This record gives sequence, C-alpha cells and structure tokens, in this order.
Amino acid sequence: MSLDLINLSAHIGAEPLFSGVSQSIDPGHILAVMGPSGSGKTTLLNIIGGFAASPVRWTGEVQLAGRRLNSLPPQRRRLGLVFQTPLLFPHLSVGQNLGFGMPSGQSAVLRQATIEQALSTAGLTGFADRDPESLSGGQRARISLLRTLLSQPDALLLDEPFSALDEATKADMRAFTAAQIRNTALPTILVTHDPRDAEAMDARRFHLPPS
Amino acid sequence: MGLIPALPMVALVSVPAALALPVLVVLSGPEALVQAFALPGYAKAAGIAVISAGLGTVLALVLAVALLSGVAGRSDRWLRLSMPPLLATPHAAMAVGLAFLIAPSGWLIRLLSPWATGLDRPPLFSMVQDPWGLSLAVGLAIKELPFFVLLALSATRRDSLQPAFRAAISLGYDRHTAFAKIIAPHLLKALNLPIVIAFIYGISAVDMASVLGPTTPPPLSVLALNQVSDPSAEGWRLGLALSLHLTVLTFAALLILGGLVATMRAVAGRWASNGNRRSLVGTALAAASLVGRGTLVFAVLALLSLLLWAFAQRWRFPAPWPQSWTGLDWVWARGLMSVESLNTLWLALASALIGLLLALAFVLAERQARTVTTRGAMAWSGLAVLPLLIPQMTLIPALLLIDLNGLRLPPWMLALWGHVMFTAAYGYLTLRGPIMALDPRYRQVALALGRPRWQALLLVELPILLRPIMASLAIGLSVSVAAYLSTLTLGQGRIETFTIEAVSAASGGSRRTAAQFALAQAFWALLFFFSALSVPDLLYRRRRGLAAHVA
Repeated sequence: MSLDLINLSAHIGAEPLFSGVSQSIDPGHILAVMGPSGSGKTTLLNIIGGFAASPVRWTGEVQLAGRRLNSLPPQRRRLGLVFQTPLLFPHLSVGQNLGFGMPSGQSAVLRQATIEQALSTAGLTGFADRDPESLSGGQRARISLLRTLLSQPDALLLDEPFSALDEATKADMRAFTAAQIRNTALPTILVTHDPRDAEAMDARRFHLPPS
Repeated sequence: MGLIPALPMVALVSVPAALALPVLVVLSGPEALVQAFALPGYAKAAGIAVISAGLGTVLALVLAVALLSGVAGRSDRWLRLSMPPLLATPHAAMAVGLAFLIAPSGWLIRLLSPWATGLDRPPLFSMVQDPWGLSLAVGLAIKELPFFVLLALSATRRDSLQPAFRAAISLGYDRHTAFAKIIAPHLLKALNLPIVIAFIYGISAVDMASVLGPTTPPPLSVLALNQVSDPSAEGWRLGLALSLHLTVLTFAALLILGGLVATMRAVAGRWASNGNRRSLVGTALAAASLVGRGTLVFAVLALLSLLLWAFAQRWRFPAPWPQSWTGLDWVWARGLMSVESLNTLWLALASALIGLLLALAFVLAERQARTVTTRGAMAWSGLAVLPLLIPQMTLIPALLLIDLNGLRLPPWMLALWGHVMFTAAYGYLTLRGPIMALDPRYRQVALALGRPRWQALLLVELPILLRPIMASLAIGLSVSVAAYLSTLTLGQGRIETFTIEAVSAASGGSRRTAAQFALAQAFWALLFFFSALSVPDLLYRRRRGLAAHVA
C-alpha cells in the first residue's frame, strides 16, 4: 500500500511552480516536503488531495496502492488530511467530531467504544462531551489527527501540522503523530518548513526548489 | 451543479427588477412623460423628495459616524445592543410613533406643558408634515441610523483599524480627530452600497412619507402613488410617468452625492496628513455624537408614545399621561387574532423563508464560481441587490403591470412575490460576507473524511453558518412585516396587514386605531426578529467557538 507521485508538474496561470516530482512513500514511512513559502508545498498537497482548482493546472499521476487517483473526487480518495489549524467543527462536541470521521454502518455502542478508545490513546479519556473550544491547542491537534485516523484512510497528508503549537507541545505532538503513523502503517506526506520536524519524526526529506 | 442554484434568484428577483424600467417606459409613453412636468406641485414634490431623502441619509450617516467615534476604543456594548431593536422596528410604526411624539398635541409638548411652554391648548404651528419634509428626513434618519451603525461596526472590527486608532491617540490626536482621520475613511468606503440603498429606499418610502411628509404637495413618490391609483387611463399613465421621473431624479441625485463624496475623499486625504492634533471636525463629531445619543432617546420616546396612545382611553391636552385606559380586549381582537395579523404572519414567514433559500443558493453558486475579478464580484452582487437599486415606486407598479399583462397571478401570490424580491435581496446582503469568509478547509476536511459534498454542506458548513443564516432570516421577517407598497399595490387592496391599516388610520386621523395597529406591527416584527436570532443561542449554548457576535 504505497503512495506514489509520478512526474508531477504544476503551473499557476502561466507561471511554472514545480516539475518532474516523482516520489514513492512506503507504508509507515514519512516523506517530509520542505521548501520556502511560494515553492508549491501546499499546491502539491492540494493536487494529491484533489483540491487543486483554477488557476492551478497540473500534469502527472497520483497512485495509492496502485490505484490511480487523478480523476477521483476528494471524498473518494481515502486520504487523511490534517491542516496547520485543527479545524474541529465548532458546532459539534469532541466525540461528535471523532464520530463524523468514522465510517457509517457500525452500531452506536461500537462507535461509542471506538471513540472512547481513541480518546484514551490521546490521554483525553472522558472528553467526548466537551466543547472543542474548551481544549488546549495541543489537545485540539490530537483530536484533529484522531478524527482523520478514525476515517480509516489509506494514506496521510499533513500540512504544517505543528507550526501553530508552542515548543513543548510541538515535541509532544511530533512523538504522538510518529507513533500513530507507525501503528497504522500509513504512507505519509508531511509538509513543513521546519527541519526539526523531519528529524524528530525520522522522515525522508524532499526539497521543493524555490520558483 | 455549477451555476444552477443561482437561477431561481435570477428568475424571480433579478429579471423582474431589470424589466421594471423598460416596462414603465413602454406603458407610460412619451406624451405622459412630458405631461408629468406640468402637474400642479411637480417641482416642489421633486424638491421635497430629494431634500427629505438626501437630508435623512446624510444625517443618519453623520450621526452613525459620530456615535461610533464616541465609542471607539471603549466598550461599544450598549451601541451593539441598542441597534438591532431599532433596525427591526418597521418604518410605519416608527413614523406613527414619531408623529404622535412631535405633533402639536403630541407627547413631547404635553410633557413640557404648561410648566415650560405656558400652553394649555395645542399650538398652531406643526412640526409634523412640515412643507419641506424635514420631519420626514428625521424619521428616515432614525430608521437608517441602525443600518449604518451595524454595518460600520462589523467593518471596523474586520480591519486592523483599532491598533491604528490607538497609534493615532498615542501620537497626541484627540479621539474624535483620530477617528475622523483614521477610521472614518474606511467606514465611508464600507458604507458605499448601504448609502445608495438607504437613499433609494428613502426617496420612495411611501409609508413614512404619507405619515410624516407634507401633503400639498406630497413628496414625488406619494404624488406618483396617488396618480397611479387614478381610474382613468390617462391619469394612470401620468402616474407611471411620475414613477419614471422619480427614478431619473434618484440617479441624478446619487451622481451628485457620489461627486460630493469623491471630493470629500480627496480633501480628506490632504487634511488627514496636515498634522493638526485637534480639529473643528473633531469638535463637530463630539457634538454630533451627543446629538446621536439624543436621537436614540427620541426614537425610544416615539415607541413609548405609541404604547401610550394605543392604550389611552381619555387623554386631555396638557396632561402628561392619559386619564383613563382602554381594556385589553383590542389586543386580542386587533393585534393577535385579526385578519391583519394572519396576513402579516403568513406573508412574513413565507417570504422570509423563500427569500432565504433563494439568497443562500445564489451565494453558494457565487462562491463556487470563484469570481476573481472585482468586476465579476460586482456583477453577482448587482444581480442580487437589483431590487434595492430601483425605487420601490418604480419596481412595484412595474411588477403589477407585468402581472396584469400576462401572468395574472392571484393577488396573494403576487404580493408574496413582491415581498420575496426584498427579503432575498437583503438576505444576500447579510449572507454574502459570512459565507465567503468561511474557512474553505472545513469543507475540505469533511470531504477528505470521506463525506459526500451534500453532507459537507448540510452537516458542516450550514450548521457553522447558522448564526448569519438566522440573522438573515430575522431581517427577512422584519422586512416583510414592514413592507407597505408591495402589499398595498400588488395585493391590489385585498391584503390587509398591520402596515396598511396603521398608515391609513394615521392619515385618517384616528390616533388610537393607528397606534394600536402600529404597535401590533412593531410587536410582531420585534418578536420574529429576536426569535430568529435566539435560535443559535439555544442550539449552541455549549459551543463557545460559535458564540454570539453581532453581525
């Protein structure tokens, strides 16, 4: 189940952004995409996630476990996306946020048990009924990652997931995230501008050239 | 999907509004257009229209800027809390209340007599229905004030203006001068479209004009309405011609207004950097801020006088309070269980809901179209607010004529359509900002979690937007409860609502009846408005991320 980027090139309008990006990420491995702002890190994630829209134009191929993703809509790509801000849905409780990500069809009891189980791995037992707004930054970041993992994706895309956190929380969150990636064996792309992220999480580095 | 969701709004709101002028031109004909000039009182009627609407708009604008200047850098809580009820109070109810406050035998003179004025009978001069429409201007200003203040409040909060203001203060500027030099230019820019809308509304606000405006001659809008009701084909054509004149006059006045604002802006730039820490403008703003607070008190007194007159049985002249009170039976018979209340309620609920749905679908289509150019954005906005850019006295008769010449809808359906044109346009104005400002990544997260598009919209985006959606519904409800011309003309006299009854009783001279209908109207408008606003508070009691912040 590897994630493969094959010869990806992108333009914004007539401006070339990057070209010839080919990378293969194995299960449980992390590719750290690095580069200055404007080098197209986020555009690359948008292309993989299926969110690239005009004025971005791109060519190449994205494959997940040998399946071609290019023409699939975002909701059918089975990619877990985590942003810099946790983006917990403000109208739902912490537990409901986790439930939103889970596939339907299980019994309510089973869903509740899964949510409790996820909360305990994050050290947040008993937080299911809390308002997301009442959590600390680090707690929100954990819930955001767990929400994505509970949707049972086949790969993870992390867009600067630690840059909004303070130093202590950052170290904590890197370790938590790395552990989750190992446990779930998901191929992961981590977009970051901080070399320490790549270092701490034992990621392979890939530099996008400045445009 | 694509642009399809925008189509119902375009078909029901934009297209008929765009047809209004051509329809009137064709049906009135060139002869009537020329003859209209010769109608007795024409020039004065036109003058009154421009003066009252222009003065009302400028007054409201100055007072709004002054009130905001007074609270800049301080707590603006009282201002934020006092504006919504004023915004929701219908024009007609406010007009009737004001008339009863400042009339020769009104509450104001009663409160001051005889100890201060020496009067023991009503004075002969009248402040209501003065020949140049000044009391009408005051009435319009009171109703436009909350509209400007609320929009300006959200503009000052959005930009990084507060730090700039504090920087100016620390450079030694006095607060009102700092406000005039730093924040006011941004406010005027943000209020461009609202100023235009308020002026156009004011120049054709028939309900307020028939209560507060002069009668011989009345403002041009009322003159046109009287003429349109003329049974002869010739007289009726003249009425349509007058409506067209009103539109031309409106846009001419707006051009002049625009020129004035542009000049002011050019001068203001030089003035702002002249280094003066204190200024006459600052002093004037400080004074106007006091006048603004006085105006708010005045508005509250007007509503209280409505309450007094609705329940007054006997009220001898200089006495400050009624001697005896009516029973409560009219409250039931007139305010709650009457034909008027039934009509007011169903029209408001239906038109506000339909308008909300049209506007919501339209904004979502606009968002999906990802218009990048300013011109493209203006085209979308222009389509949606077109009904607010054409004087009602032109739009409504045109819609009636379109109906009479083909559609032949029953009056209730036509009146509903008329209401929807306004609820949808105002709905767009309130919804566009919050929807465009919503973080697109909420939707991306929902999609990436495997949910289909309709679920991302229905389960994530719309619930997060519930507050602006309910605010838009609230405004739609109060717009419909307040609507006068569309109900009267399109309902073809067959749909009696509180507005219609209050205005006709006020001009018919029955004070108690007028007060009772106006009070009922204000009651329902406020009840609807605040019920809609309180829905998110109830649902999101425990969600601080969606806590109340006034639109």
